[in-house]
Amino acid sequence: MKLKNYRRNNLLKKLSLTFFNFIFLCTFNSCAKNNFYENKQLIFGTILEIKFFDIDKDTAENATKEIVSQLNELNNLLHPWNESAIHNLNQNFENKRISISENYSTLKTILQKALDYENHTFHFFNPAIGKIIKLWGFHQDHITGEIPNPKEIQDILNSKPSLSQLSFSDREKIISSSNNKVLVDLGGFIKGYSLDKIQEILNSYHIENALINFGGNILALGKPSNRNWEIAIQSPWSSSLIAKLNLKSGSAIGTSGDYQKYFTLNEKRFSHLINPFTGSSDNIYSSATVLIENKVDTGIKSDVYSKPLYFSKEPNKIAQELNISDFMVTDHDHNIFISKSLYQKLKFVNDHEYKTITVY
Amino acid sequence: MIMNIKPLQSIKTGDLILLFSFLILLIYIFSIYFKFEKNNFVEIEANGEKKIYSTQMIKELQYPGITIEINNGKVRVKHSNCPNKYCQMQGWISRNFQTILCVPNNLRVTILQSNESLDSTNY
Amino acid sequence: MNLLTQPIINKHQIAKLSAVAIMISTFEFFIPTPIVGIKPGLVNIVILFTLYNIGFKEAVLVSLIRVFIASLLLGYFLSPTFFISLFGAIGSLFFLYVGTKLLNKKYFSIYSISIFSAVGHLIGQFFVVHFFIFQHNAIFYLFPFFLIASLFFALLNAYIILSIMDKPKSI
Repeated sequence: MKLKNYRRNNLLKKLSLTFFNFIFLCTFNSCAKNNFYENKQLIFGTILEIKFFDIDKDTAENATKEIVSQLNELNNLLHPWNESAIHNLNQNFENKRISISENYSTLKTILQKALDYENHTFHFFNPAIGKIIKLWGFHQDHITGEIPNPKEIQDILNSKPSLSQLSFSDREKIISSSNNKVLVDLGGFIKGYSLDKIQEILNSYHIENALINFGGNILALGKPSNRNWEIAIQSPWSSSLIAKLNLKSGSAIGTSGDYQKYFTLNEKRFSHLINPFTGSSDNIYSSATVLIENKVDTGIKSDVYSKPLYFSKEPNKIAQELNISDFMVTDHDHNIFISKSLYQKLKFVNDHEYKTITVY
Repeated sequence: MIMNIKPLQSIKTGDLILLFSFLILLIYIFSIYFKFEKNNFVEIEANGEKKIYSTQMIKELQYPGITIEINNGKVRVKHSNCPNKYCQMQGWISRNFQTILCVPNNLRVTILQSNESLDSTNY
Repeated sequence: MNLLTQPIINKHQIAKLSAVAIMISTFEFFIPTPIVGIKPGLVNIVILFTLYNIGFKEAVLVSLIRVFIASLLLGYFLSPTFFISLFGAIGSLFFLYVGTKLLNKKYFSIYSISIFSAVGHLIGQFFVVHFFIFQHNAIFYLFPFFLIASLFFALLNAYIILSIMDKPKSI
């Protein structure tokens, strides 16, 4: 008897809830945001968020389709551990012979670009240390979380892996490496490179007002109505937000943080950001953010430039040498270090998140 | 002496006018509610401390006595230790201005209004 | 209060009515309500009954005694729930007073008075929640939902009063 009553009550509660929610649900799908086209996709585990302002639906859909297919193609080319051209290339470095001739020229362009940035960032961004990242167990879809043998890491470090050890033979369409400890992992490059590719596609479709978020890296073009695109920066210490920021047309923002991909062992966090000089995941800072307003390689810079700031002990000096005027780094003790230029552009929210802000 | 009053017959014109004016007010308010759009940011105030979160993630947030779940654009109170659990029963919210209150736990969950909202999150 | 100067018969009546109000409060606290977050407010029946049969001052006394004793009994004295309950009662009484003075008996019956009381209760509750607990406009999002329930139960309460009561004394 009691049970029966209880059930009836629950039913009544559910019915009334349905009534309350109904009013909202009935307009849920028909609600189209004026002038905005939005699309969200999952591409190889990375979220792609597209926002267009003031364009017709057909152009928006075609552009989205093309972006998605190009990104899928890029992933088939560059994925570090799944079946991809780069994966085949890495196997070739270990004396296997898999033909990469059909992708040779694309790979060459990408690898040379990556090499440029490796040299430019004083090897803080080093896509050749894939072997170390693999040892840390980040080259799989489900991270198991084991600490690798320091001797093995030291072995790889001693060989000083670098993209400059690769040689390209245009005639045979072969890429070879003088160092068999090189494993190319373009993880810190793909997102930014993709953003630049997307920008090219948008230009070809004459789309002027767009906001692209690919795995957290954001590229802004034009503006929605009479305001700028406005974005939030996530706090490295919790899931909440830390600041708001207006993005000028043609600017991109990227963050490297230890909260994106990591495993925890004995209450210690081991992040996927491996210092190419020490081979360890022990770093001073929890995140580094850069805002790029430069028109050349905007996307790549927003992705790559956050690495030297993250790994170095004196980010402001590195930033000066790389000519980065807008950057922010945060440490594990909830302190923020920020450049003057970015400080003037940001608006901090959630005051409880941080202890101090130091402006360079 | 008990008089035989017929309750429905004692309704007067003024009562009806008052009731209808309230109904019109309600219709007006709900017509505003219909225009509310989905929003990607939520503000959570717990014991006077306000925090803004992006709703574009899958995450459970722990507050004293209460668990809040964020799941791809919508937010709900997943579990609460308050006696009536009204906040828990309210279910998912995702549109501008929608609010869940839990008075015993001093907690307010509000989807941001469009004028305070943002376009995307860098992470 | 002029409780001490009142005739004894009134004190007894107030005590009895308060007891009934406390009983209804307790009852309402424990029965699961069919609609989320909404109580029928049956206590208003007692308050309106007091108002019509004895007078406004006595209604105030019954209402306040009920708020304090019920909160002590149910264990939420001085908790947020208590203040919401208290300000709900105060708002309700204020609107009752305004209602009885403002509304012409010729055109408005106990139904209107009941609606006034229920809306006052709601406004009192939102006032305290807005100014003392969550100082944010977003709480008013919930207002229309509560208003619907308020109107419904106000009409129901008025119906119940008319069904159980002698012809109401004019006030």
